[in-house]
Amino acid sequence: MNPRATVAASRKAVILLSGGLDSTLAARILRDQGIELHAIHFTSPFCTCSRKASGNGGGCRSAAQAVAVEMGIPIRTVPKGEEYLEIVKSPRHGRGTAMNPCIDCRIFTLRKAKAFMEEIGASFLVTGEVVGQRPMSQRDDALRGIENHSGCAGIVLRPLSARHLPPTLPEREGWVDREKLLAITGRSRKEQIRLAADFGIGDYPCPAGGCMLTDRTFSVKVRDLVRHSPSFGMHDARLLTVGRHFRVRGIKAIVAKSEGENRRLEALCQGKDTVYVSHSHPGPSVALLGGSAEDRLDLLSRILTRYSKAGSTGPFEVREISPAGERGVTVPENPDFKEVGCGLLC
Amino acid sequence: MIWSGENTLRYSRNLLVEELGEAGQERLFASSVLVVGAGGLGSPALLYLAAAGIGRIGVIDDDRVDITNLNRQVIHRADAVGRWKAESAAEGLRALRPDLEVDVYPVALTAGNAADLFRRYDAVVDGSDNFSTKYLCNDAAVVTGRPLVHAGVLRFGGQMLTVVPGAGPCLRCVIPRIPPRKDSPGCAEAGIVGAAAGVVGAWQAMEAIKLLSIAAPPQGGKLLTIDTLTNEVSCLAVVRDPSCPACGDSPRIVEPLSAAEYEPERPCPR
Repeated sequence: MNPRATVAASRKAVILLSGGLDSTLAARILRDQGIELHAIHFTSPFCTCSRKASGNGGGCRSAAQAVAVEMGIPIRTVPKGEEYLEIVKSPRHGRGTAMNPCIDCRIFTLRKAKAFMEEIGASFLVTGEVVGQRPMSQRDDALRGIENHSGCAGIVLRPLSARHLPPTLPEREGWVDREKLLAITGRSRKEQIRLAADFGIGDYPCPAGGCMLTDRTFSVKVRDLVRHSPSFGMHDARLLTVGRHFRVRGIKAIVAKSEGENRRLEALCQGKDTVYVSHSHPGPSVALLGGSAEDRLDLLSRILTRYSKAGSTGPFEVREISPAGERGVTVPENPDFKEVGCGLLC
Repeated sequence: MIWSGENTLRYSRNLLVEELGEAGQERLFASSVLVVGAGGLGSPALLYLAAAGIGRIGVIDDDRVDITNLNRQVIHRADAVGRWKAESAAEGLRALRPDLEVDVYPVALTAGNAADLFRRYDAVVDGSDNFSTKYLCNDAAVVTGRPLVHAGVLRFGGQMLTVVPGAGPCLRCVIPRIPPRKDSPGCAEAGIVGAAAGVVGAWQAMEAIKLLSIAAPPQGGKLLTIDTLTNEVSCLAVVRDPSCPACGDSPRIVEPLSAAEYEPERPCPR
């Protein structure tokens, strides 16, 4: 909402704002051309920024919001949700070098952005995409395919690369001045960093717009989950972001890597999965999903022997916290880690 | 929102309440609320609306968090001082509900944008701190047909009125004109005990929850006054005024709303 005046639909646009440098620059460029912008921002459990964030799950969500609010732009934040998980499970347009379904993900977000555009009576979309920056979704043929599949052909303006791309609706209609748009391509960020300095943007917390699904190591866990629990939900997805994961004798073991992860794992499992919390010694919290009770405790003794703080000796007393209740469990030391080690996903 | 093991548990206590039940909860998931002001009333209202499972919440506020706000504006943490309230509030909401859709409007509600904004939501909660915004909320609710939960709060108490356009009185039926400034001190002049805002703001959330889940018939036409100092709550029946300038038979106030109708007021919070 621009309090100064009601703006015609033609001067109103929706920007897909990640909070990273490119989308921030795109917003500034369009705002300086007098376009009334409304931002839309998507969150997912696989965003690297929300993992870095402390406790409150702020991360890049707050970065996008902070950028928008500083510019006086209203912003809608949309958690991608279960619908998006279906894309992660079976992307129609394939994956990148890891489990990343970039093209389908982009089609999904553009569709949502278009619906928002129609809801608020705006007439085009803006993104911070740069031709050739991302090998999968930002080649120029990919950009066109994504537009067609999302019903957004000709209405997605990319101010950073616009002069390398065919004119879009707002350029053809003269709502924005194409001559003042940029012609950046490729992976170098020199031009963007120079522009940021011009605009006085000093702080861009999310420079690579990170998605964990592009990480090959992380993808090992995702691939394993898709194979073993094809109908997994948001809870399983969140568990992927905590700890070391093992698959041994049909059991999925998650071993927290720090005090902070202990608490996070316990919180995520509460009321849903069984988690073992070290009691007699400093050690990791461990979630064990599936398998037989006997196998689980055998696995637990090996994991605790391997990962408890140096100098801790068994037997290990732990609290077993499950949806059925809480009880004390004692497992012996067992230094034979070979089988478990083979089951390490990452 | 989809029923999963997780949200069956999360909302299990709501589901046990007969008037709400699964159908009511599903209506809440599918509904949207705009909260005007993320201050003393907005803080508890926002938190309880999010906690109840509302699907999408909009927060509009053009002010920054001030240290004097913290005695009552409980959605903001101490380290939010200096930040935009709408932003800080949205962060509090997402910490509580990672699956919530949040719209943040870091702008003032004006005659120019109010009707357009109200139309994007199923109901509006007025947590503003001045009479001109309260009257603007009232009029925008009437012209857009959106139910509005109006309230005001000061010192130890406040008042609340649910406006259901087309089915009961609006704020102007009760007090047709915006009270002059000298008769309407703000929190900065008259003071407020934060918990009083908590009581009234939480009650506003309750009103919106009932309206949207259809747990009870709309409670329009009941002007509640709440005095926490004497524990007196009174409910005054008010009726629609056919000559009301906003919701009367031939209203003066129609779209587009005119800024001249809402003379500026001093803001409350400093």
